[in-house]
Amino acid sequence: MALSLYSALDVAASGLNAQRTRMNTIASNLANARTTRGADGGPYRRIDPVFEAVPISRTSELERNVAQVRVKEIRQDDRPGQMVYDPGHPDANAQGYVEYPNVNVVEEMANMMSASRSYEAGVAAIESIKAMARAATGIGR
Amino acid sequence: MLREAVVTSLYAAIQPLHAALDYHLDRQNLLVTNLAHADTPGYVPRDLRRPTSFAAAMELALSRPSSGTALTADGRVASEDVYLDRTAGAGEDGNFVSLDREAAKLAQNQSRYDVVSTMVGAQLRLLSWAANDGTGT
Repeated sequence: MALSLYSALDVAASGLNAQRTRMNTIASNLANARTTRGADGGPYRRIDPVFEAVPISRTSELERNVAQVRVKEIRQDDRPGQMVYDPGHPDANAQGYVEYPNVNVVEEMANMMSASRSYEAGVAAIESIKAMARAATGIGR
Repeated sequence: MLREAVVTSLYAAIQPLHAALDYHLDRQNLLVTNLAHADTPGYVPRDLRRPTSFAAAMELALSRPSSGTALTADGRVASEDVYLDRTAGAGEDGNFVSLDREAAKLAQNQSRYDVVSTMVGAQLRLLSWAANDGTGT
């Protein structure tokens, strides 16, 4: 597979997909900022996607360097959550403390802005590829 | 033999421009990859080395169109040397991508592609003008 405007579009699209995955995890973290009963019984743990670069092909030096983004894993953050004294809470422990999720809303907001900017950059890249395609089809006209 | 040589020289002006288009297309692929990997841990942005300065290559291509390719013998820019661009510096995750830097490179690359494709169009119009005995376009 030679490099073309389509391979560039594929790579840009994989970047957009990665940022959308990141946005999903951020939304999940924000929505569950006070969830004390997660899937495994304890409080919700914040999640983060880990991205990796996957070359589109290995036939040439150039193509090894043009890589799509793949979501390698969704990693759970195991930092301890905040302990709040609330003996009346149904999930309080023997000492009367409730462990809330390890989600820091400010941190998530910053992540969200970063994801949103990266997404915009990807859209700008696609616009640029489209402009190049227009220029190419304009040759000979 | 002679006729063949004449036909080849008709397109000799376009050949180096074609190479320049290829170069910018390859570079666009790399730059888009850099933008897509703005959040991949440990990713170092790539760029394509130019044989000389773009201006010099363009000048060569324009001033000596009949001498064949100005860039490399096979009509391609020597595009195989990809280099890692660590200028922007890395964050905590070892990622060297700077969105602004890459976006600026992308815009620059795109406008250069526009310029070259306009020049190819102009060369082709020139040929068609000649083919029509200097009448019409």
